[in-house]
Amino acid sequence: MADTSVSYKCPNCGAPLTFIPGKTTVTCEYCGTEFETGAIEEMFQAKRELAAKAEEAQQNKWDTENAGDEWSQDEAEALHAFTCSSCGAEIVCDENTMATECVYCGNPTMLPKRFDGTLKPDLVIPFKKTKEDAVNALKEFYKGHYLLPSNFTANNRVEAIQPMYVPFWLFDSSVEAHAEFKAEKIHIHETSSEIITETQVFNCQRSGTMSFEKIPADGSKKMDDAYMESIEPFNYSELVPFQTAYLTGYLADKYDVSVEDCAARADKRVQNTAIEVLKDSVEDFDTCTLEDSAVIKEGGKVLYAMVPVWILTTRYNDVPYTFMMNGQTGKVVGSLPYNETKAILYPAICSLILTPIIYFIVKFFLA
Amino acid sequence: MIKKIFFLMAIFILSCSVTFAAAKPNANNENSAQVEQKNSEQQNLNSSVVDTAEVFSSYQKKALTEKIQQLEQKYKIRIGINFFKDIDDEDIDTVANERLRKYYGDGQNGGIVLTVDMVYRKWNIALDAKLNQRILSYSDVAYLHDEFYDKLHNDDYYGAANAYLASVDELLNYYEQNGTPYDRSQEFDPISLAVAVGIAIVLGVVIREWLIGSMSNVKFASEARDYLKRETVRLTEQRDTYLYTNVTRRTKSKSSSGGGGRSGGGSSGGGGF
Repeated sequence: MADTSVSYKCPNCGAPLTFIPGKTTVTCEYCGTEFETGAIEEMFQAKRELAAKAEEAQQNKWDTENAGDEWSQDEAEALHAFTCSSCGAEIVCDENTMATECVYCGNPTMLPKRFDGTLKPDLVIPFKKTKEDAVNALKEFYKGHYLLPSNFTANNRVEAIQPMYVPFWLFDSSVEAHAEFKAEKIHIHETSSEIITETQVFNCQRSGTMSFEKIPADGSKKMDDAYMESIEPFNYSELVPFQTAYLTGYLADKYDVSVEDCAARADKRVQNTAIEVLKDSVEDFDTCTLEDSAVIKEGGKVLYAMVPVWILTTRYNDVPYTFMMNGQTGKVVGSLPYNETKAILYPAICSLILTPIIYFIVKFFLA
Repeated sequence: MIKKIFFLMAIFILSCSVTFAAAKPNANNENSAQVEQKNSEQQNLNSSVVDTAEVFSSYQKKALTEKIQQLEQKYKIRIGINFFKDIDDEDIDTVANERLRKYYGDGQNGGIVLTVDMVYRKWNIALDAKLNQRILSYSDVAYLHDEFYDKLHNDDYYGAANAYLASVDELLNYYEQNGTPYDRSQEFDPISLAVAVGIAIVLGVVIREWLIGSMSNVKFASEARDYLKRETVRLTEQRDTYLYTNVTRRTKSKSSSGGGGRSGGGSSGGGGF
């Protein structure tokens, strides 16, 4: 039976190949041989085509009509088995997995069927941050949080942090925006007996056009949108055309949120920004409030890109806590648990210290 | 004939003498009245209680004067109470300090004067540098007991004057007993403490919320400024139209107490009532 997955092995020594962050080549960590990503691409093209055909053939076996009642239709569709080309073990993963590693032999494994045709990403931002960078950044992130439970860092498996390419839609957008603002000029002057406030009210009309480039919106249901928006921005000057070689050694999912579903998020951000840009042009006023607005999208294109993210999910008191690091810029985001005792004690100590200081200030002003 | 002439001359001289003698006592009387009046005015301006506003009865004036004399002897200071009907648009602080220097500055341990202008309803307490070593501030005299201001405000001028004297007595007595002037800032103030505790609790809650908020930096992005191509921004319409003007007038609040200050090393201050 043909393999349904492709292992990127060194043609020289047969060891697994890994894309090293920060390099433009794929390197064999065992014999040190370096390969251009283009050469690797060509080298494994045939193998990928074969693996894709093998997967198609195997998918027929997952026809659940004769599978009895143990698996529902949805469950069966979500589960997919692949054969590791290195050790022959069966790798089970979900319907979106593009790249993974064999849990038995640790071999980096591609699932070519997942990035064929229209599913193939246009662009990729290669990983720049190594695992060591990610671990150090995460440890640094824990520092300075006074409410962090003391036993959290000891048991949070920071070494288990995983690199993953997350599917993103990148929206280009040109808009024509109109906005109407109510602006005020406030002048205060005093006489011997009165304080007079004169408020001049203006209607400010603003219209303009502007363009946005590559607004990111993640196309993965697994990824929390708030986390994905928090690790922004990305340096797009390092975007390169997609090659599967960049995925070797990393986890990768294909998109499972359509471009149409993601567009609303991008559009909302464009709309807010366009209005803010127009508002910035309302100058020399003391206050400015939006009265009415209309943002008309003139057009735009969408690109499919893979973005590097380091991910760690750990549990504390049975609650999962996820941390992510932008694999390109190193920006870490996450939500930490807090110790309720510390959350009461520290503010109470601050209040106790501040009370005598405030007492003397208050007494000074009341005297 | 010669006898007749001598007789007429004698009568003339006699009549002149009588006239002169009669006239002289009148001139003396006139001069002494003027001097007496002048002395009286001078004495009035010098006196412990000056009341051109006529707010005190003679009995009250006498009682205040006696009380002042007792305190002056006890503490070797000069004390003045001046209620003026009108100070001719002069600054009350200037008037008070001028009067303190002129009329009440000769006390062994210093002097103090309460000056009240009844036209503009302003009051001032001025004390000189010597007394300032025993009484730290005019405001200690005015606000040692709330009744001074309350009574002044309620037109109980005799009560206010008594409260002023009582404060002077207490403050100087405190100095005699402790060797240091009374310092209000050293006194425990339960109202200030209650306010301080309230503010500290609010700050504690704010600090707690800030600390908890700092545990997460995950948030949705509401804008896309990082992806805006700045060079593409083009304003096609920019029109500001004036609509109307709103005018609000707020009457200045009249503060019950004014600012204080120091002049010549002393302390003086006051306010309206």
